[in-house]
Amino acid sequence: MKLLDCPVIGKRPISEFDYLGEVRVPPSQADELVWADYVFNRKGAPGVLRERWYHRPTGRWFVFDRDTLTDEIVAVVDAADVRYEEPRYEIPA
Amino acid sequence: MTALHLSNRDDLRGYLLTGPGSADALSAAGLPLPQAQLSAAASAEALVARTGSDEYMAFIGAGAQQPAHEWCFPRADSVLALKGEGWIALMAQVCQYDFRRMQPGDWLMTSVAGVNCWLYHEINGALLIGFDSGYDHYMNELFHTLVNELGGHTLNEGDAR
Repeated sequence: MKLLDCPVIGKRPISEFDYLGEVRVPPSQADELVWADYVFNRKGAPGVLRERWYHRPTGRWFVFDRDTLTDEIVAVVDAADVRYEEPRYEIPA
Repeated sequence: MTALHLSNRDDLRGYLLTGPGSADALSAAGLPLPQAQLSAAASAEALVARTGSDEYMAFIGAGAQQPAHEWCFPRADSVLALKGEGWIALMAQVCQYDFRRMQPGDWLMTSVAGVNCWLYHEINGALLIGFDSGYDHYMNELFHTLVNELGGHTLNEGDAR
């Protein structure tokens, strides 16, 4: 069984969590190439990645800085620190 | 240590309080108020857990006053009470948590047999297991089977006290 060692709630089975992926900010003004990169490409190299996780039994969302090589949670990030303005998109004529 | 036994705590009514003023509403109703998040406090007739910065879950018996608050919603939890010798061995079959570490007064929210549950270890030694009542049949069948396999007995009425 794989465990996620959460600094807030302790070691829990990974099956108690939903993984929401890397915290990413959509581009506000971008051409098709930038949008394609945002939509289709992900960082796959080992290293510290800022990710969203959801723990179902407590109903809590977490933002972790996780080392994807060692699986260590390096830091718990305040959700307010990853907040961003919703971009205003213009629909092409 | 008494023999392992299981009972349903149908006497508890559950409420979720959220938003500013929730702590004041609990205090006004004379209910216990846990300080730390993901901890619980109990009195003779009530159990209150703090599940967020201004969010609380309250389970109160017939003798306690219901909290009055604009954002107080009834919950539909079923609550099992497990008590007696071998309860840790039983829980080891359905949950990854190491219950040898759980002390009276401890609160835990985890997955039990694949169901999201809250657990509270009462001072009298009983383990309360709360979950959405939609899983009532499944959880009752499972726990009754396990208790019987481990030589305990089950009760349909009353509580674990």
